[in-house]
Amino acid sequence: MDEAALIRAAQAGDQQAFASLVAGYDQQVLRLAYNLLRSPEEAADIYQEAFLRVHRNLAKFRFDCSFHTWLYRIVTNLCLDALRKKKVRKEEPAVVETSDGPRDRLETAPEQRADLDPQRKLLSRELRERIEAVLAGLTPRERLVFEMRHFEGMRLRAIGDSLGTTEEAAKNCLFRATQKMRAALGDFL
Amino acid sequence: MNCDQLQSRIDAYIYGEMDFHEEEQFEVHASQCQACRHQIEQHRAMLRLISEAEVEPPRALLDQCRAGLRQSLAASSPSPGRWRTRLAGWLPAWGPVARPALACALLALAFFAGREVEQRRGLIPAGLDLARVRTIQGTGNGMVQIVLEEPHQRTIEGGLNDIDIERALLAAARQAPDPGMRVESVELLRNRCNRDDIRKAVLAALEQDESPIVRLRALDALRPHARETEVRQALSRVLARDSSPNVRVQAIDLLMDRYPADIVGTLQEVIRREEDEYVRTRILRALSQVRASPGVF
Repeated sequence: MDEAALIRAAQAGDQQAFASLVAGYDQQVLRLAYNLLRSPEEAADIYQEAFLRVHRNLAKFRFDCSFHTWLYRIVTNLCLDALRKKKVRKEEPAVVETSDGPRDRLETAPEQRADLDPQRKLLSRELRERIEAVLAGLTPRERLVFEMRHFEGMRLRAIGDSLGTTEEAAKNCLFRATQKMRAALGDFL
Repeated sequence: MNCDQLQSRIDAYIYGEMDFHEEEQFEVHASQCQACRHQIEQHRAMLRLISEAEVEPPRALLDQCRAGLRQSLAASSPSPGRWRTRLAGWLPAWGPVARPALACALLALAFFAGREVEQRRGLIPAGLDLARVRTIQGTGNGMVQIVLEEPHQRTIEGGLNDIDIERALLAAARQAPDPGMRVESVELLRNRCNRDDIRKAVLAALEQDESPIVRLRALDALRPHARETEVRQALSRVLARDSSPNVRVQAIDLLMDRYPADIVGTLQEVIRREEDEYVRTRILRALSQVRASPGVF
């Protein structure tokens, strides 16, 4: 069954079709949320809320855009909210100097993350911490655009569609993000 | 293009997001300017460093999330019959418009992949030399019209069975530098894996693609062919060699789905050196299902 048929079946109440639809995208969604929030609990919350919203609103999906775009509008809104809350919640905000002036870092948990992927053990601790700091120093929007373009391989146009903005705005956001990274990682290059 | 302009566009260049004219200007300037070439290399090196900071969610987390979602849906939904009846009342009658729209979106993605292949690797399907996709439009009856920008603009039109489109998809599945594009190409080819050349391309993606997401999609596309010897042999190799625990677990599931007894030896071999705790657990469970021991005596 192709995706359009799955969507129609799920709209008609076929739970198995809905499960298949979810299975086609949920690894990507979880991976995006996990990389952005670096917390299994928060990533699981995003996953749950995103697909519950999809389930609640699937009847309103009119094929005006691809299902991927529609889903990612939901997911990116949830991720942006979570990233913003995370910034506000942070108890002792560190400050990172950027080209836009001082900014709060996002909360990080490098010790917990270091064990999750053997490849990361190869990075020196200093470099790893620097990378975490620079990622945390990005604004939520820059962080999300970079994640979607670099790690998820999404086109800037699709990213713009998901965020309700233009391809050009997404491109500018990506540029700001990578400029900050180069400034922070210059001595490792 | 001057040095400042080039440096503000390095991302767009590296990610293949430039139009034909802009990329020409970029490459002409870079070819003449050593400082800019150095900047481009530094940028690539920086992105490689950042790539190493990526983390994969543990496979168990995905299982937990799926289970949690199932529970939430079960708790929030009325009984299936009533739910279906109620939803049916809300639903509009979906027309035949939806399928071409989705096909167009997917084709657009696949063609951008094809475009990147052409630009960066020089592996071009016959008849699409130097082409870039400018627009894609559905024209009814499952056909699409595609405007290509070559040195001169030209339009081709056809369905998924069209030979040029098929070649572009096969090339993109193998070679597109963007993993998102390779995923889309595999997705578009998945229903045609009964053909030898397409199945081989998907098998190659499963065993050779550097992105675990692409490998997972390829594995999923091969699900209906899990009985075939060629596919089972590839899955056994994936189980033994793939670097991603997620992919290894999916390979176990698929191999166990059909003729589980014939992979006992592979499982016993793999568990001797498997380091991932979750994969080990899945192998032990699989061996227990077929009443085999984890060791060879």
